[in-house]
Amino acid sequence: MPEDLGPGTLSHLLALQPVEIAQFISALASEEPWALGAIDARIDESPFDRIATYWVVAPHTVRMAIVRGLEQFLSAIGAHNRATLSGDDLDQLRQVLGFCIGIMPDLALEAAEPIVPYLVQWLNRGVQPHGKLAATALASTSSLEATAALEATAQRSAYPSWILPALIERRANADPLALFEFHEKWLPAATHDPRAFGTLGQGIERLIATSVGDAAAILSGVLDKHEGPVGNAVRTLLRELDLRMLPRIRAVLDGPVKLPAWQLLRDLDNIRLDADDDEVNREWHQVYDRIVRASGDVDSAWRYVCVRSAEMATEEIGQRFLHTLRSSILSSPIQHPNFRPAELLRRAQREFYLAKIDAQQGGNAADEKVLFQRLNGRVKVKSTPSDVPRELRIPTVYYAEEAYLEVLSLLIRASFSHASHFRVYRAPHIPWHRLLFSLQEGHVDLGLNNDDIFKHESSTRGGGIVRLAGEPLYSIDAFTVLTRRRFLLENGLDSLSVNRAWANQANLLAGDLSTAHDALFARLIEAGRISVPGGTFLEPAIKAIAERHGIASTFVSGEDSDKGLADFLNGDVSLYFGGRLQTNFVFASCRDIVRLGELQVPIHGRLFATANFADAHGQFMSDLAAIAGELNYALNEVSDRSYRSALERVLPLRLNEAVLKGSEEAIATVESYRDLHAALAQGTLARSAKARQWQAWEPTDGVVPLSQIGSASRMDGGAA
Amino acid sequence: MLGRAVDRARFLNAVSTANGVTRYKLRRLLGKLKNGDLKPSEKIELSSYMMSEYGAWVTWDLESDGINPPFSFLSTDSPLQLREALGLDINDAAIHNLPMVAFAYESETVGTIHKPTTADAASGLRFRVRSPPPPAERDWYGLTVPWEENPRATSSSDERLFPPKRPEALHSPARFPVDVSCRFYPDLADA
Repeated sequence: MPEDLGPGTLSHLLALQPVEIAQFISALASEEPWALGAIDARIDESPFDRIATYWVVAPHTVRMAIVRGLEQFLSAIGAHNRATLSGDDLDQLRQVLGFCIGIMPDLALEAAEPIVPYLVQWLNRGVQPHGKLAATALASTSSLEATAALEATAQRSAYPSWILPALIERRANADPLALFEFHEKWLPAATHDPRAFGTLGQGIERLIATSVGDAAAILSGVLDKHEGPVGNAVRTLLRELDLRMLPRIRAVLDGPVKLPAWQLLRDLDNIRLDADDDEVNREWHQVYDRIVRASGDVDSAWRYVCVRSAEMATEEIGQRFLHTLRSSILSSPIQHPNFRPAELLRRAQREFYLAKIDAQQGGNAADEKVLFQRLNGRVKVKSTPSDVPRELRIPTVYYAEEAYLEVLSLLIRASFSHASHFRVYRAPHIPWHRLLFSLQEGHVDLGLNNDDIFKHESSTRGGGIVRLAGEPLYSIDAFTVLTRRRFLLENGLDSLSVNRAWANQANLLAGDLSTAHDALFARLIEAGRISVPGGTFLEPAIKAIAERHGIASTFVSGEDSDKGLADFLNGDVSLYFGGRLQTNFVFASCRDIVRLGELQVPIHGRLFATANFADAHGQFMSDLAAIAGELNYALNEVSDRSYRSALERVLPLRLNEAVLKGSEEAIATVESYRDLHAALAQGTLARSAKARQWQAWEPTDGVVPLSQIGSASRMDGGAA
Repeated sequence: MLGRAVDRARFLNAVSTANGVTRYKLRRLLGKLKNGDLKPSEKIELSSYMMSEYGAWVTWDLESDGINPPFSFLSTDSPLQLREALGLDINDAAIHNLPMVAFAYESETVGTIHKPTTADAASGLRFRVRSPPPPAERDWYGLTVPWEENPRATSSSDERLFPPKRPEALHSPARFPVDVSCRFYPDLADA
């Protein structure tokens, strides 16, 4: 024994040979007087408190020597029976186990290995607080043996509260997804122990950091199992977290759903969006059908879908998520009596697009700058800044025409960029059929509509309106009537023809439905009702056919476009006749849609403005006429790649923004520029850039009483 | 307002041993305590732990009778300066500048404050018998023995004055008080 060591600094002692250091540490652990004397140990502290300080600066070899010393001590004391251990022995052991807690994180696995079996031994010997200290030391190492021992001991001893903090912390560090395993056996106890409870809070943070989706699913499962104080305690921990950026976790908090929420969330996460369409649809179907069939609370369950939609908005595969969701909802034979498919779709896509719009504000501005720069100077305007008004107000519309208005707005802003005070304001939610009223009441200055604008106003008075004369800005010749294949077959139409039309996506009936097949068309209307955009000129066109064949007008459902679209998607009407975007949306969304045929109802879109505005800003309006002629150029003729990319990103986003921010009931009909382009291609945009003139405009067709064309309160419809 | 300053590693070992809490978690809690970021559940958890297993040495600001923060006399966040002022171990260069952690808490939360005795100071401390004895009204606490003979303190490059004697006393082992705050010397991001 080195009895001649004498008092000195620990630095001196720890500079000895490793064997001597180990011997010293073992002796210190056993509180042998020569070792205590060597460090001038105080009576009111553990000698290992001092060793802990030196551990910080000790080199690797010294640390290994200290570990060997601990091992020697643990080996010796471990050989004793409980009965032969004195109080002093147990206190020495306690100090050593406590010291092990602090050094385990600094030891590589192989260095910690010799100690682990002794820690496991004391974990299982039923002596406290030694078992608890051993558990804590084991929780401080990443050794698999340590983890396994903690799990096994916890399970064997029915999850006693002394092991829970260590067990929870070990799980949180080693495998956060396993944090709540067997939670029904230990969670109630953990919520009553401040140490286990605090550790659980930190574990939940780890879990969420590992995978928000899995965390949401796991937490939902936990909350589903634990109601009352235990569930509330977990909710308390969740509320302590910063959940602003974690909508899925927030959704878990918002309330229990009767459908096992964990199952739903896991299913949502597990839909393999990279699989082929049929597979994705099948998986989506399962999720959707389970929600509607199994859940007594579709409203709550659907909140998870909406939250997931919002999250997917910023992901590359997000659009596919929404697309497959839509397809599955609308093609599922399962329906909930209170939560109709269109409503569920509307809610999910609303969350998706609004999140996407928010996320893309920056990129949108950059894209707009690209467009703006390209269009700047395209039209040589004559207006001086003083000729330019402070503001030009243009309505937003729920139709493909919104693309024209958006591009026109860009053109106008680019052309008058020399007037720094000028801005274009897109007035939200001005229904198509209310343009004349809005112009005359001074709500907007400029608008796009077809010539029958007067038909929709009951209190129309002439005058006060100017129209851009000459070639119409755009023209559409015909609109398609859609129906479901099943409906046609149920009504006795030839199955071969129906299936061929369905498979080829071709019109079932050739020619104009209003003349060539009007009797059959009328019979189908009577059999299944038809939805038409109320308040537009399409409505009287259909009603005229119905009336000709003695069918009551009640079979023609003239609703605003979003309501009419929803009615068809929900199966409340069997035939659909609507704007180009809405028709395309139906066709792309539902699997069994057949094009019944086309109705020739040509429309010609023109720009209208108030005479007062035109009079007050003559030169500006003259320039505006020239600018309108550039619409086709800006939309179709610029081939510059960066311009086209920017345009293709901006337009769908703007159209959805106009729709969704204009009405909470609207269904967004444009998933991509391709959808929009397909709709626009059904019309003809004027190619001529010939200068047009503004002329006073009076109605030519006279006023059609509203009573003949539908309910004013429901008219939010458009023409195209 | 009492102050307790402890070598960080020593403190972590003592608290781990007394409570069975991992070093990682303890450092995390102390880091959040320092920054005032403890969540309610973490405050409850921390206040369930024993802050010391034995009697705890504390000091305070004598001039303000404990109103001012206990360590406001320090001009830097040097752990050595803190050790010098409180007469803690600095006779080993290997450890004399290792991090310290210092707590401040209300005296009412830890019970009776005791005057240190020779037994409390033990042989290893820089215990000095003061002479003449202090007047009765100031005889309920001790005074630290700063390291005035510390070579660093007399270095020509070090213009600091000797740290003044600080009052010192003891209280019984206690849990972390609910109102406890802490600082690190040096001011590290975490404990």
